[in-house]
Amino acid sequence: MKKQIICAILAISLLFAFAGCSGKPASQENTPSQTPSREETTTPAAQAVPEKVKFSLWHSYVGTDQRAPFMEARMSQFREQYPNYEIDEQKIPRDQYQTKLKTQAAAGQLPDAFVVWPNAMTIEFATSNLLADINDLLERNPEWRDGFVSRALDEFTVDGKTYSAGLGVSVTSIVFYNKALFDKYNLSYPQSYEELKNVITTFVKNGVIPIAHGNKPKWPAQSTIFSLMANRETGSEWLDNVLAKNGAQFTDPEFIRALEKFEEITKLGAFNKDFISLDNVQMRDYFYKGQAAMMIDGSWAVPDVIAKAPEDLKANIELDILPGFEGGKGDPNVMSGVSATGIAINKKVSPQQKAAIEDLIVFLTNSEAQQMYAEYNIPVSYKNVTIDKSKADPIYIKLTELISKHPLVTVYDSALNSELTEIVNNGIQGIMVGKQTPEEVAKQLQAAVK
Amino acid sequence: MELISRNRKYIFIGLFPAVALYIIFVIYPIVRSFFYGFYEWNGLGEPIYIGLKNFQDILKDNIFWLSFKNNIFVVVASILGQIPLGLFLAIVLNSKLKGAGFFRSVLFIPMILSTVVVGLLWSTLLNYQMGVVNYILQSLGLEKLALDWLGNPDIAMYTVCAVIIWQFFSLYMIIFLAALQNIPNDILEAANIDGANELRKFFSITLPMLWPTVMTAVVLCISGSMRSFDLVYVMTQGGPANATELMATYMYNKTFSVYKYGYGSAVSLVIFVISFGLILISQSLMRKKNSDR
Repeated sequence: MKKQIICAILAISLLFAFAGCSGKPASQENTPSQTPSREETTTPAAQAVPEKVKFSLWHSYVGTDQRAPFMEARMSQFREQYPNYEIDEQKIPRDQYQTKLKTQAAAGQLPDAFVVWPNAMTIEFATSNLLADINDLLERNPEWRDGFVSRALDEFTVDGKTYSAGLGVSVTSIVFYNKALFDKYNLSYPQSYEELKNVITTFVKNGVIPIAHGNKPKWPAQSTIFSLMANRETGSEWLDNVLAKNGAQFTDPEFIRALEKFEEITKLGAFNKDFISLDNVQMRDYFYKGQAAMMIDGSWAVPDVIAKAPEDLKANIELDILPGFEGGKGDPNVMSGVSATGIAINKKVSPQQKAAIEDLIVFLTNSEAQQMYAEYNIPVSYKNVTIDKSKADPIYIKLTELISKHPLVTVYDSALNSELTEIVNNGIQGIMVGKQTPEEVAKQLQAAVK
Repeated sequence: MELISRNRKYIFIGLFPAVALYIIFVIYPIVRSFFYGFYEWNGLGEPIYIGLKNFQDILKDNIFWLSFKNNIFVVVASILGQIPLGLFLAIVLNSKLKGAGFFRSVLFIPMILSTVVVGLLWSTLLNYQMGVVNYILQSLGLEKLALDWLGNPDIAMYTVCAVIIWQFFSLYMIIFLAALQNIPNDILEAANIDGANELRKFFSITLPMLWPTVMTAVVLCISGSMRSFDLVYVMTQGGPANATELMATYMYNKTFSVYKYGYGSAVSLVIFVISFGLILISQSLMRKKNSDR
């Protein structure tokens, strides 16, 4: 009896082993014969010898992500154009994406291609020797390379090696405001910090929420409001100097002033009372219902505003940036933003896989893709993209105008490593609920600078 | 005993697969993660050996000690909340109440729900703006009591504890119910004949006979609360401003959102030592109580 069972188990496992052996060659033989008709019609010489290439791709363009519909459409085009590429595509919601990816990295099992964030995360991965650069790809495609706005490549460049190209740009600090409410209380859009305070107190007095805000996920206050407030006080070089330990520190008075101003507007009642229990999507309701005069959010909110804001409100929505601060060292004309995420290549991939992934990177960022960004209301990362104003939504046009007028400066959570980001996010939340003082937060940050 | 020694070989063979799996998938990773506690590692590059620095940092880490304090608070709240509540309901259900079976099932529901469901359920109910709890309070004219239950750092910890108690009291209720049914009826009948009232019977008969069960429940309660993580993670993620941070959520944050694997491992080692110490203390207390009698 026992022997019979063992025999049976062995026999079954043998079956699997054989299946494993025969699987690959069979599929390699099959595919060319399956697809020739398509290839002849679509592609020239490059695919004369279509070799089956398989690679895994992890990205976070899924669910409510702004790029989800774009990615879906573009990936199906990609599959159509390159039928010899077999892509194992894993879509992971943004909140879990970094955790999953970094856990995988710790285990030494990164996928072949994956989305990385610019600046701090790219530096982390590149210096740990996990990424293959795309310098030669850029050399080979000068036209593609030169189309980009500089930050779309620069922010993925470490020590002269570029690792990815951003799928558009993310502006993080757009003030969406309801012009009708400003008019109703005889206010004009603030041009200085004093005016901003005046606007806030006027709205509070009249029972209007000055700024709709939801900080439950901890990053929105830092990314959408504080990054730019800090820049207004400190200027753009300062943060680089702090991180490079180049004569500047988080405990410098200008940074503390920025934190104090943030504390001050919170105490004035700038935000809805339940900002701590709402997330950055729920907060938009206050603005859409006309209960809040302003909302500070990133360009990722634009599709949502276009889709969900009521028509009568939409006509009154204007886009602007935070005013300059009197006495601040920052340029009052800049706004905060970064390159969007991009696809990077695992160092361990084979040359064929690398070529395939490079095709994908180009395909997702070339001029045709840039046109599609515009269709999906994503800010483009090419310099010259003509936007069809008759088709585009007025709010998207306002967004592109805003971007063209104001140069971008970095966002804190993009420039800081994960530890400092955690401290600044928690610190700002602590200041908002009165549990921490600006000096304490500044000290904690400085203590963690390495 | 002789039987055991005679069959030692077979016992070993029989246990081997389970023990091997346990060692590979439980013991080894635990020991391994303790080693990481002596390294600085972000998960990407090579780990750097830094000796006891992580542990020194933990001693100075205010947020860790805040989370420790919160954890002890959860332990105390669970012991003082879940056990008396469970005991009380068990006694009520054990009396010949009509529909006891129905109430028993209903009261047991929180226990069988997944923690994530419970967390989301209560986050919605307790929502400051749209939550049912505040709606009821407002319609009763108690606007002042309609608080931002999970958003106010001064009360969030109490709210979280209340939800923890709500979810787990029924476990203790069932344990006590089973123990109550083991109390022989003749003792209670004898007490009846002696003219003891209900209160007297409870303190002189029921409670002493339940005492070993109560102590078991306390140990369960301590170990359960020390490792509580999921409810807090779903409801507040340790926020606002670390007000509801527990040791486990702190360890998770340090490891998986700040990517300090070394530091996270060191924190988990400290949690291990603290929990182990608490369990040892409670067990030695229990043994003392047992030998007293």
